[in-house]
Amino acid sequence: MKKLYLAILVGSLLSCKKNMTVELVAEQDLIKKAKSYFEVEVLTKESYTAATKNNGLSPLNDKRSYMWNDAYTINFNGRSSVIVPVEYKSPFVMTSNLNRNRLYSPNSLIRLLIYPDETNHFHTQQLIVLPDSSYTGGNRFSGVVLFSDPNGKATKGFQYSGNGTVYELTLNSNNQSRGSFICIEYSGYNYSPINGEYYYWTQSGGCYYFSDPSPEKFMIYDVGENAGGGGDSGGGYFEPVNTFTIAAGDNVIANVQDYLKCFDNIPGNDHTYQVTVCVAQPKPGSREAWGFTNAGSSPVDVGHTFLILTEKTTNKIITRNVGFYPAESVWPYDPIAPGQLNNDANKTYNVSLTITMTSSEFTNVVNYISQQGYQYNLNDNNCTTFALNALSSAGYDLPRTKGIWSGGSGLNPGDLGEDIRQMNVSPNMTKNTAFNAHPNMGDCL
Amino acid sequence: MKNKIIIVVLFVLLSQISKGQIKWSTTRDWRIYRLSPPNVFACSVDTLKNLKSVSLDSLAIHSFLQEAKLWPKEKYAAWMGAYLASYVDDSHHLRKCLISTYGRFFYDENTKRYYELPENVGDRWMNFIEKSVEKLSSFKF
Repeated sequence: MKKLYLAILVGSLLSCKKNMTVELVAEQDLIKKAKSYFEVEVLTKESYTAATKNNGLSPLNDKRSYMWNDAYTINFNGRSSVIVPVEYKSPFVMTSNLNRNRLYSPNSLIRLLIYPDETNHFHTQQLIVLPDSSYTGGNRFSGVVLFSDPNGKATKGFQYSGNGTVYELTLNSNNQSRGSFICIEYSGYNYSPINGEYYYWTQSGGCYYFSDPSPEKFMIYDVGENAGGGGDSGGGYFEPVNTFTIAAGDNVIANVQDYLKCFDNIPGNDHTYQVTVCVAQPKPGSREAWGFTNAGSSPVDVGHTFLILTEKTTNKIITRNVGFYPAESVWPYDPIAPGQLNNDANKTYNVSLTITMTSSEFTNVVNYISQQGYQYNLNDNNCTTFALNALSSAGYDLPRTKGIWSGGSGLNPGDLGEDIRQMNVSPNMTKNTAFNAHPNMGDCL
Repeated sequence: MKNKIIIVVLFVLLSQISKGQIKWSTTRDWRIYRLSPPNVFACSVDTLKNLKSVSLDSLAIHSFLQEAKLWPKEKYAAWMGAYLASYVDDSHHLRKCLISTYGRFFYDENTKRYYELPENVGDRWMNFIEKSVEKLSSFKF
């Protein structure tokens, strides 16, 4: 009898393993068939060949690769279908009018969907995910998912309210008045660190009228920082989605004069010049400078301070991010290294101060940053020192509270952040304790 | 007898020198995670499975790390940002690693030691890491 039970158990286990193996083979087979269909029947069509990219035009229809190695299957309309991530050849960032404060790489928002119909013939759609301002990642997804052609022209989609209510969207192609509708506009920045070109682009995404609420037909979830890997669209707690620019941060600025060349010095009311000092405190709301005291302790972030320079006119906005770093590792007992300037466009911060300046004051800041030969010193000339000195060159002397740490002391993000929070500001200054995306933008006209 | 003593002494000396040095070529399943400072510093190894991650190319990692130099155990660094990574060692344990956003150094939490890559691979190393990180910000259907 025991042998029989054992045989049944082993048989069950083998059966489970066999089922899992069968499912895996079936998934891989489907992906393979979808790939074959796509490459033979779809890619050769004109609509999938890349259009020439011109300044001011949306890069949504630019050349992209399809990441078949990362493809996976889902249940779409009751049938197994394939989702394929994409990778654009040239980097850019994008968002929509649903939330202009957050920027994403298109590679994180756009997917290829290949699904079979009732006759098992494949069809293709491009999916564009557009989170709205309510979505922070710590809740259910809220925003819009559009089904489009490869150029971003959608005909339908779903709108997720974030509380489980989902509306089907249908393109309002004839501007018919059929109740509530939503219009989508894509926008973004083309970023090219190599030649220093930046331009802002927009593209209409169409207007869609809402159907009545429907059960959540098309599940979506953010595989966020606390995601357990499951498929439940509402399950689990998700950390806020980081605002994200192209991974161009930690980019050393090779030629700072060239990097800042688009700023000019034109007094007058039609030019606005601003410098924002941004502080990422090690512990937001605290003056704590450094947390660790000796070798062998777990590392702790010391935080960072950087600057955002902005010039605005009626027809252009130029923004450049600058942060000061050591070119080599530093520690309290070897605090000095050659300095370098980085493009900090993808850095976060938790407190900032924006100062609106005259053109000559702004130019002083630009000139200070443009000087060569800075040496980084963890105590006397760190990122915070650099930022405060740059502001001082324009006549703006912020508080310089020094902190103490094992083996050293000096200006630091912890103290500067609290100094900014507590300082009384002049009419030309604005404090901010909420993060806003701050990509580089604008080119020389 | 004298030769045997010399051999033993040499063996002990070599053991001391290489103590803490990880044989990176035996590590596998490298991954990088979507988590930002300050959380990257505080999270424990057993919570890594709950975080979204992407794999890092093993050949590339081994190629970079074979040139990594172990710092003296007394030395540490100021961190100005970090990426969270992990690997499986030759005893099949999951280990946490922090990769600095500047200075070409990284930290192995298990051995609590720092490593540094040579200057000539710094740009390639950061490009490799950043390309991998870019895959992390995404949605799934």
